[in-house]
Amino acid sequence: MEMHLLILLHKVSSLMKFLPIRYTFLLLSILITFPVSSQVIERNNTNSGTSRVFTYSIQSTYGTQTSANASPNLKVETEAVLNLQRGSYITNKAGDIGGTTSAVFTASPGGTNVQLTGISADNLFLIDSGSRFRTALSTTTPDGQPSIGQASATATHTMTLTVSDTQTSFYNTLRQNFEGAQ
Amino acid sequence: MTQNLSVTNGSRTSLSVGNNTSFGASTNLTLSEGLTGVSRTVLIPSSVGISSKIGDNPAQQTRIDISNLSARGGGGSIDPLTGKTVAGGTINLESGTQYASGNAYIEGMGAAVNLDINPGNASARGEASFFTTVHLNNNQQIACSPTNEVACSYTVNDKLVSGNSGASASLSTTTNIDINGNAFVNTFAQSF
Repeated sequence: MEMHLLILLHKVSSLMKFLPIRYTFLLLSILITFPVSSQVIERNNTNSGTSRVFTYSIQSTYGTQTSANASPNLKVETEAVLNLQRGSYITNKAGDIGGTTSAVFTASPGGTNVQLTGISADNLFLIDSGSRFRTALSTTTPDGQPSIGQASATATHTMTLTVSDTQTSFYNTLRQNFEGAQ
Repeated sequence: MTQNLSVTNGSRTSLSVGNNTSFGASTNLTLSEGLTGVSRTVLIPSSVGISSKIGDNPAQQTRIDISNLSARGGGGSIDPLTGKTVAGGTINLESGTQYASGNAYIEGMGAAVNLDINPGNASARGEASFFTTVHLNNNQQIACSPTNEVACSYTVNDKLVSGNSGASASLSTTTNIDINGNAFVNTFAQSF
């Protein structure tokens, strides 16, 4: 409505250049008394839904690690050698065609019970001869400073099973209303 | 005018279980100035077998039951079984909590390690040796290990010196169980 009024006022101002002053007030009063009406339009948009994500995974790692942290006046030696022997295996299973895999969580204020079915892992590592682990720290030429150091050489094996169950539901409403000229 | 209302609720439950096995050699050395030290570890296994299993039964079932979780403090105790301090499924920790306790029952998973060190094994000779020494700096400014035939000449210190060194071999097997559960409600409203 304001836009229409502005356009009319613009036309009036252009007409006023050619009309005498006494007619201008009469014309303005006629224009302002034009009947104006408006309408309200409202729109609602609602979305809702649910989702559930259930994941499980088994991870096996195997390897060696050497680490050292020493002051500059120390000589550090670390060595980790790991040889796998024939007969080692990793068997991780999660699910089968029969669809019998499940993870049931039962929570209570004092604890939680979990029962897994159809998820299994069987890892066997046999270490062969030649595997060895050595670490040594020794001082070098004295420099008048303290000597501090740690060193390690280790072999590690980890097997981790992770199960996650996420359930989500959502409800989203968008309401818009606006006025328009009729 | 535009109004937007978004409500999301749900729950997330996660379980992480696993076995962790590690073995190896480590050394440490701490010396003040004026000291010479050596720390050395050698670990040569004759044979090692590491086994780790989950779902170790014909039905491939793993059962984990954690119960009777409680925390105790100087101001009292919390016992979920009695329900005295449990309201709405929440364990309220009292001020001054000092320690927690609980029971864990695990069925269907485990780990085993067989580490054999046999120096008499001709085909795979095993060894576990450790050597540490700490002594004053010697006058030759080079490493000197005294024997029955050779002596070392050490420098004189006019202040207190201290030093320690360690050499060790370790074997550890741990089983970790981490259960995490939470429920959430998220509400977002916007009007403009």
